[in-house]
Amino acid sequence: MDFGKFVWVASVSQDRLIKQGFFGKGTLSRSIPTWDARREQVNNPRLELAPEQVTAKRRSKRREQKQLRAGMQVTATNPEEMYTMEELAAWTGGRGYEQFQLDLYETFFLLYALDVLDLENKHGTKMTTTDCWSLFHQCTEQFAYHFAAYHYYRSQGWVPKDGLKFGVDFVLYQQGPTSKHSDFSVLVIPCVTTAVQDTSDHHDTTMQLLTQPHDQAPHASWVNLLRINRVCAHVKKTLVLCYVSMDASVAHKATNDPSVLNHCHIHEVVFRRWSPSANRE
Amino acid sequence: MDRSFQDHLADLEPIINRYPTSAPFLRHVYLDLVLNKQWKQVEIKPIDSLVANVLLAHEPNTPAEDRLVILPRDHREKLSTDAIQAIFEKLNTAHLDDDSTHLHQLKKLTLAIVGSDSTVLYYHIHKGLVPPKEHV
Repeated sequence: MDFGKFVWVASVSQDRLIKQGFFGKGTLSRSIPTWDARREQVNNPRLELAPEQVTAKRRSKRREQKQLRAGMQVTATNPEEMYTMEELAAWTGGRGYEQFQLDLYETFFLLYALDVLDLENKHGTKMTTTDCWSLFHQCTEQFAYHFAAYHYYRSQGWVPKDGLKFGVDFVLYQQGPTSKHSDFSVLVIPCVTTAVQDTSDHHDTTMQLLTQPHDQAPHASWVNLLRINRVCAHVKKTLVLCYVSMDASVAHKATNDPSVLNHCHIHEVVFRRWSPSANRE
Repeated sequence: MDRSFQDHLADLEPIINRYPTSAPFLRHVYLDLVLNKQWKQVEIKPIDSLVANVLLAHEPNTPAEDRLVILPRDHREKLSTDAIQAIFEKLNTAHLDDDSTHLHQLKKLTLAIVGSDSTVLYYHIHKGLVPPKEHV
């Protein structure tokens, strides 16, 4: 955890983790690790191009077309500005520098829900589920609520990935990032519910959004939601507000007891902008 | 190249570790720029007033003298307009100019925000208003 808030997979099973659920990401690639393959291509040009190379080619072509349209001279890649893959292959001498990495939600899911992963601390001791839960809580605020949402979407067959690029918590893929762009972006809104009993013996529940003391603009405010929705609409994703609520009586032990997951409730709200004059469906 | 990449990284470690808290993020952004994006001109510069290293890098297909000042950050670190203003001020007084780069009053800062899944998001932050670029 000194290095950061993620887990490096030590054994050689990364292939299985990718093929059986699209877990993990390569640290030098957009999603599945391709850096070693890109380096191998130097010796074997017939290998299929990695997605990163396809994108680079497309951008380079677009730049050339722009230059032609503007009547400018087309500039080739300047060897003083960029290394070729051949140069990097020679310099790195066959040593790999890409790590296959799982984020904390993927890790806990593999550990807790599927029981296919063991986590060792830096001394090499295997960590218990509760140890991992507590540690992950120290790394990420409101880990319990976010993990509940992750677990919820995983159990429905979605592949949730980090949504930082879009200003949300998760983006949902049907089959992993390599096949199709994600359609849904999820914003997790943690809430605490308290049962309120008034004088007439009538039970009611109030739900309160959980905000941290330093939040000046609670992230579920209207202004913030409008901002996030704009971004999501631009990238053709539908925004889903995922309210994860826990009763106050259990919420206090959320940081060190995974069993609170059994007491979470999830309500989803799809958030779409509607313009009365534009949409006539 | 006579020295291996591993030796080159070993040479850089003392500079990277000068600021231990941000060292993992700096290392990651450095590898992303050099190994993934294949940029050739990437230097690490310590900025004591920022308690962080910045990367001084030349972006391919930009004018030869241009350099980006890239500051790696953890995505959980909060930012505000005041904080960004303070970063600009500290960078200006830190004198990044040297004979070859001619960097004067810094007008553009690039944040390299490292997410929890190792994605690096690069954002340019300009000081003040910038007119829209003309599209070809």
